[in-house]
Amino acid sequence: MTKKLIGPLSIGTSLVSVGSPQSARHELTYYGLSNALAEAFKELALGEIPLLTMQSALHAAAFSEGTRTMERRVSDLRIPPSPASLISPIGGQPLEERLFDATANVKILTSQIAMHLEREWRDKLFRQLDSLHDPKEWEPDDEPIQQASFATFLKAIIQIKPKRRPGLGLSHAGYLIAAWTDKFDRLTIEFLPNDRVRWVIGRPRDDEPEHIAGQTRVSRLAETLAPYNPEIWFSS
Amino acid sequence: MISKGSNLPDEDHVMRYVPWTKLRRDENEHVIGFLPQAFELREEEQSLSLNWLEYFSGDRNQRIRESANMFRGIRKVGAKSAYGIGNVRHIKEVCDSNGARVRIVYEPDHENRAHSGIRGLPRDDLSLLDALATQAFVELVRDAEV
Amino acid sequence: MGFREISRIGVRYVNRIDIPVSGPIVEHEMFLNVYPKVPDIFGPLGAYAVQAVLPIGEIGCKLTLNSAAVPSPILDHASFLFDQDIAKEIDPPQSDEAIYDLLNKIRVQKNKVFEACITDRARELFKR
Repeated sequence: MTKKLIGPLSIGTSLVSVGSPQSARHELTYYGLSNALAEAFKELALGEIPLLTMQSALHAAAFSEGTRTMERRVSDLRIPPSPASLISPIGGQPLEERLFDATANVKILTSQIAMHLEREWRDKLFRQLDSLHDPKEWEPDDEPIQQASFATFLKAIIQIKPKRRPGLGLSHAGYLIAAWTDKFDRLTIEFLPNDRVRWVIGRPRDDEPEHIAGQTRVSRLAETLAPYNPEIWFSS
Repeated sequence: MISKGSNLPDEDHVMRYVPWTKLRRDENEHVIGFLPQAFELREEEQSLSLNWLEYFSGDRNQRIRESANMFRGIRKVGAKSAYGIGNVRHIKEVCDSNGARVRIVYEPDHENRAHSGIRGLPRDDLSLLDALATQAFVELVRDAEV
Repeated sequence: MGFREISRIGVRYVNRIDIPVSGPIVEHEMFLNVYPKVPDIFGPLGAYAVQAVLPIGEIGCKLTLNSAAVPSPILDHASFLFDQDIAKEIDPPQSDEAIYDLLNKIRVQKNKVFEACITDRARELFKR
């Protein structure tokens, strides 16, 4: 419960906001209210008091019966959601909307660095993102692409500038995955939030498969991959 | 028939559903395998969910078909999705050589009598996941082909 | 019901200039002509933001110029925002024709301001 320190009230203060600054209903004039407020608070000590009680008391003290009746009638005019509605009243959003919003957000993010990407690359990237977020293929418990992950991906791609484009995937948590494959040599990079990446290389060595994995900052990705001849994946 | 909680026979096979977002693709969107993350446990999961192929009867193709039908009956299956198939012994060997001692256990539930799981998979081991994707689940079958 | 008069017409252009860097010091003065001037004894700046408000007498408008160092969205670069707000608040035009005419004039001024505030080194970046 929110608490506020209430100091002595003074007659003559013009407009005062109580509670949420956006809540106009809480804007009160203190002119002529001293008696009503004193009555409302005679049981309470000045000092820290629950804001909820403060608001209720001020509301009751400040608004006439006529105003409160009008407010109730306005509230009643709002149409409540149907009980049969598929949308949960608390934060529910249809799947298609969620997926659309997620891809739209990362496309907007891309627009902020569009000057560093070739148009064709960008167009293809958007098509891949749309394909990943096809509602018909969507795994219900998965998260759509996370902006923070995509921001990490953009940083990596603009620095590495691969001539060969990766195939894209998405983890359960909505982190973008980029995969390059050259016959049996594989590089898979998962782009995490906060400029982190985790990567794994798989390649055959003396007829035995070898897997090398790591996690690093995106700024060190190129340097980290350098010993593994990344040009086999990145060059055309 | 083995009982719930028992290890699946080494000579048998398991099938994992892999959705479109977890398939490995080339730059032209052609499917070429599985991403390591196709075998990653979700936060709330204790075992990697699979179907026991030999639960179903018939030849191999019939079993694959029945298993796919089971998946389709209990969950959403995307048209572009695929299934990874691997031998129980081989999966355990791959895990072992990557430092993980796992059990592949029969875990039927009321919806799916063929349900099984890989228990003891470490989390966040990307090398192991890559090994599962490339060496353990060696067969890829597209849902559209079943 | 009546109608309301237009009281302000303004346009805002926000540019971000990404400067490649190879070391810890960014010589922003090589790329921009708008930046704070501080005594040399302070050493390099960690961050900055400047604002200038200037009249554009030609078209009776006010230019509010903001420039600041911002976190770069790409690696190995330093980024600077260059934000122009050009507005007419005194006797703004009310007719469609006059409004479009003003907007065209504002665009011309905006380009002049932008060109004046960047150096040739910055122009080379845009050509790449």
